[in-house]
Amino acid sequence: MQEPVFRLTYCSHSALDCAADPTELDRILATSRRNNAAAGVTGALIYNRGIFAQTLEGSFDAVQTVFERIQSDLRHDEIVVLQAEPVEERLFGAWAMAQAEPDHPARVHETLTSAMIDPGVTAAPPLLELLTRVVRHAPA
Amino acid sequence: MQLLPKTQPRALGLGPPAATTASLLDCTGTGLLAVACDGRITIANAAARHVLGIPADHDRLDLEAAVALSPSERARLRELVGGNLEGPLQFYTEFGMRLAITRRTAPDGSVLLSFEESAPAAPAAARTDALTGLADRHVFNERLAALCDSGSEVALLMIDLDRFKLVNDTLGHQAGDALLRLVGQRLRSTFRNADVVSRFGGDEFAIAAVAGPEATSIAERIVKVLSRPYLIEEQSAVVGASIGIAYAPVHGCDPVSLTRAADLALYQAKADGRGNVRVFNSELDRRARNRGTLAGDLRRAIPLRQLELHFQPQITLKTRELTGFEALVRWPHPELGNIPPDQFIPMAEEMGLIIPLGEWVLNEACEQAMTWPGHLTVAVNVSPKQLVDPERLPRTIAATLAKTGLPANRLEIEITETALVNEAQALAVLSKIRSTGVRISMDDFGTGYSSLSQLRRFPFDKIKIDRSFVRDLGGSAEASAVVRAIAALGQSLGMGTVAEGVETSDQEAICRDDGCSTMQGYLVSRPVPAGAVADLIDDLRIPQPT
Repeated sequence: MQEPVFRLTYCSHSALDCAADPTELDRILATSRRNNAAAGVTGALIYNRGIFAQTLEGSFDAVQTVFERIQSDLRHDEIVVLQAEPVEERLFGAWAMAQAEPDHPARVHETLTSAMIDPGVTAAPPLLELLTRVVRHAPA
Repeated sequence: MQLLPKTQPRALGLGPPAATTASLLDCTGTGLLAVACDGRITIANAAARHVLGIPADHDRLDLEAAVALSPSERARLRELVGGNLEGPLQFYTEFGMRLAITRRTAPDGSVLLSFEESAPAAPAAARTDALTGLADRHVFNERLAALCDSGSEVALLMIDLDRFKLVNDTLGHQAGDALLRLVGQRLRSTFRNADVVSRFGGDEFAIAAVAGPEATSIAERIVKVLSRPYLIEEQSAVVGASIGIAYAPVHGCDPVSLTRAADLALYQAKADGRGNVRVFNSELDRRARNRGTLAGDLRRAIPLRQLELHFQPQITLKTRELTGFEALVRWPHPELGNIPPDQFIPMAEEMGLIIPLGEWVLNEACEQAMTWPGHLTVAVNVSPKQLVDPERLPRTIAATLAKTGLPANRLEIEITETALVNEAQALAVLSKIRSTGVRISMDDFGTGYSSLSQLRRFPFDKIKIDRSFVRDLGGSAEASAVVRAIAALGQSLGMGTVAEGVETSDQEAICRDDGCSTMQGYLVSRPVPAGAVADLIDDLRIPQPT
């Protein structure tokens, strides 16, 4: 499949307390998988202590549409974009939205908070590396 | 019945008496407006007065008097008069009337505007904003009028994007349009129950809702949603939003007064630092009226030669020798007394007057400096807006130096750190100026952003240490440490350091010990009028011990 791929990686604080209600996260994932599958978007998501990080991959228009839907969701707060650019290929082509379970919660927390604090170009690679590392075990 | 005297020159084609001309002009349905070079309205016939809301006794008024136009439409009209826009142009009055205005220049340089009401607006389907699909201004005003008439409580939200121009300038107009489309979408989806969501043009949006006090929290939500990142042209971009709110019937019970009130609240929201929501209050109205009068006066101040330059001396700290003067613009208003520069300079920037004002200051300062001994310099402050056009300021400086005969090395240009926000552009302009031998100083150092990185990237000739650090000298050890650090930095980068606002001999002594090269402040002298400079030079000739 050689269609142009656009990748967006962003972090956000969330008003959701997923620790208190794990079904909330499941609902978000279910909605996102349904919407993404329809739009040909794939990606991965990680949630840890109030911070979401998500990668979306697909055609620019599809990623923009999905992102706009997320942007009008007021449960997100302080959204920072870490990477928004055309890329060679998808990293998460097999997943409509993979859920990455934090393997080392403390390290994951550090990666996420530092990305929120300093969302420069250097913030995206460690986060993508984290997502790919933990997603390998996730069901497609 | 009195007959006209036989000598009446009417038949000779020399024109009837003025009163007759005016009444004839009043008979035509075409609106006619003549604006003199100084911005004053010289003719406004009945049709023009009616449509634009100009009073019959408009003798000393300028276009600010066209109250039936929103501030942004008035700004466009001024641009049309100034020749910056090509006519004929479409304008909308606050009453929803659409006008086609044509511009002609009269032989005496004044501008004649003639305007006709455009064909009645198209049917509803076609009256949406083509870019966003939202209601256009005309439809919006109709609906707002209907809401007001219904007697219900109405909230009008005027929304303006912050930093939109930056997106347009850096990513291009196509990106700007794409962003406006997304803004429209976000407004529609956050505001499903709104009665009307409209794009007024440019980056200005409006929402009218039957609502009560919760409008403020809705507005805050809109600011939040619009300030989130956008994906456009395969990259991400961020803008902000400011909102002004007015309620009917308390702040106005028709679209014109309500829009004006919301616009004033929006103006305040922007002035308070952007990303804000402000609700109209009568204090805003009072301030706007003052500002409106003052703005008209400022427009006339340059042609009427009301502005003055004052000069404040700078002396070396080591030997207390006079090195030159900083030129400071003053406006002694004929009725209101001295208007402080921090009030009229931002106004001039906003009204597009800063370019002519800056050019006047430059010319005046150079002319004055030519009357001083040949070793003295003159420092002239430059507004960030003067750095926007890459060619204009360097050209003006070269022309002014040539005209006045002042050697380039006697002129210093002072810019503040905030002028360097659009860094690459500003530094390119400054480099061009500096290459001709004119010196460049950084003003108010220490108060803006990323001061240090600026210093590394541009070879300033001087750093002027902000008066806030100097004021605290003697009182706090930290202040002295900051001054010393800046002085040392200046020395190592080969830049002179000027301590600003030195008021006491103690402060002078500390500045000297801390290694500053020059000082300026009340201790040496207040700024003095041009006529008093010669005496001051004499007084300062023999270095006075302190």
